[in-house]
Amino acid sequence: MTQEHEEESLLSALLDGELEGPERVRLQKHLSSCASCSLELESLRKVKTILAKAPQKSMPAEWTCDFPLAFPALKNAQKSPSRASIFSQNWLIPALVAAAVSFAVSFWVFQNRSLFPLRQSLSLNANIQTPTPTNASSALSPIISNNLNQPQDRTP
Amino acid sequence: MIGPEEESFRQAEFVALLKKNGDKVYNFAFRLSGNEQDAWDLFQETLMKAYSRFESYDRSRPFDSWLFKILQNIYLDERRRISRKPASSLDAPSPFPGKPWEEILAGTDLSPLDRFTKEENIDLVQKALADLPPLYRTAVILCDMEGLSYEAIAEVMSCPVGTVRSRVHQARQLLKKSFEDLSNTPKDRQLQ
Ligand SMILES: [Zn+2]
Repeated sequence: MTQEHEEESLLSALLDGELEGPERVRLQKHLSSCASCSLELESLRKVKTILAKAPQKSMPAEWTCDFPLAFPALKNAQKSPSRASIFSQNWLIPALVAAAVSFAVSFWVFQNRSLFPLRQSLSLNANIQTPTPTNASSALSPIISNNLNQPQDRTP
Repeated sequence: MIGPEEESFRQAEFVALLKKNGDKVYNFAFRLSGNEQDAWDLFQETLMKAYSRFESYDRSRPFDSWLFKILQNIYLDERRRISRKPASSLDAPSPFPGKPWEEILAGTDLSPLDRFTKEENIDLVQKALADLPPLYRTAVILCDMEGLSYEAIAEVMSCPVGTVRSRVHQARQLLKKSFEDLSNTPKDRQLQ
């Protein structure tokens, strides 16, 4: 070994084109003489490639079709400053019905397209509740319904 | 109060921006939440919130980044509510105390990572992502799957660029380990 290893996260920065100037020159010089850092860089590159190659999910077509339906809800939401007051508006029921219908349709389409045959066995995120849409009310997101009780205002 | 004309102009603008950026935002929701059902909920909640704050959207900034930020805040709030853990627990310590990757890979003709790249492991990518701490997952998805710069990610995640670099790197190290473990696991047990 000819010199101290550089901080490891610099390898990711180099890979992402986020390293410039003297830092970049110094790291490249180090890489030319350090097999272990070069190997580390190569494996990071492979991870990046695996992620980049993963197929992109598209917004469900149903959403675009249903957008005019959903829009009255969005329109009214725009006028309300907080979640608590948003959900006390009288457009809530039609909005929920529209959301439930659109969710039911998309769920039916997804099921029939067999897009998610592994959904049950995957259980990808054990900490997240996954609602089963058996009726209109259960089609509501736990995120939405839970936020009804806990108004949060962290977004910009 | 705004008039009906202004309102319909606002709607048209929102829809136009959404049509352009909706796929990216939905993909982020899917990769973050791990399944279509939660992604759909997250996506809808994001749009509701975004539209309710559409006036505050700075037209000179990218619309997708603005939606990413809203989406990740909703997601993290939900995670925190469910786990009832303090926010700091979302960052995990370094995965490899003193164990270099080349040591793990030593002695194999084709490395686990190579095998993982060659095989069809789309669902396993999602599984590996789901095992990451949320802040690492967010950073690496935005970097490697959404193609955002560190600066743009820092804006979305409201943190310094150095923190983004560290999270992206930690995420990749954890993923590397996951991919290796998964590629060494018999196929019928990989998704359990
Ligand atoms: Zn080195």
